[in-house]
Amino acid sequence: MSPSRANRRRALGVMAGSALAAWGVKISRAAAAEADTATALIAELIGSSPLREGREGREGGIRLTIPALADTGQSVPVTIDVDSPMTANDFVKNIYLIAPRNPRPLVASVFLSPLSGRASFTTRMRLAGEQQVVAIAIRSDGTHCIARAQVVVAVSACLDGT
Amino acid sequence: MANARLSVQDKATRGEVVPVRLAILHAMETGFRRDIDGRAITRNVIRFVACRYAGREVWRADLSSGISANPYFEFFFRADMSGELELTWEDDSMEKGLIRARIEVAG
Repeated sequence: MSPSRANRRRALGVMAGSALAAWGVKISRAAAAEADTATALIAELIGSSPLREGREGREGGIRLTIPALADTGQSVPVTIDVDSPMTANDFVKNIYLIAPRNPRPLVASVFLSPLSGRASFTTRMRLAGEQQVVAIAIRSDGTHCIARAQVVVAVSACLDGT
Repeated sequence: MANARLSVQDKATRGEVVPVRLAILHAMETGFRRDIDGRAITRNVIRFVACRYAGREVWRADLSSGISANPYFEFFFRADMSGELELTWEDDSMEKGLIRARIEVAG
């Protein structure tokens, strides 16, 4: 092999390496940005509301039911149940459903009233890849509770670069 | 409108907590997809769904593109009087939807 060819090969190798490194940095930056956005969003939703301590096995009386493995991110069934008597003095005001890695992390904001009878909400959501889905409930007394569930998504929604 | 289905019982005893199931035929277009010529497809999602019962709003949900196409919702209300259950929604193209059911409360 001639020296010039070897040099060219080395130069190409270096270029490819730096491109890969740049790509890696871009990915980790994007992940960090996602995490920041989600953290900021959760902080904004909770505001100054104190966390209600939960009973064993139920974080603050909220339960997030979602499959651990979703075949497709296009439609993942999700249920949020909150323990509450739903009386005029003690009811759940809001339930938020958050997918931190989605392009729009706040998936749904549900507003309830004492007439809702039971603080429960079921829907089907999109998931852009594996992530930890978050559910937050805000009670009429100002406290909140939060539940998280890790979901593996076999085929992501948003395959088109979002 | 024929583009939605509402499932709710037609009779209840006073104070009963009644489930409501609603399915709407809607693409819930995210705004992130592109058509065959590479042009972005305009976002068109149902922005909110609201439930009124006997003239009072009992439940409401603000939605984003994170809700699947043909959205499905299940929630509850406490049947305290006979009346009309009225579900309304609106999408980004300002198209409105409405579906109703009557519930008779005994006792």
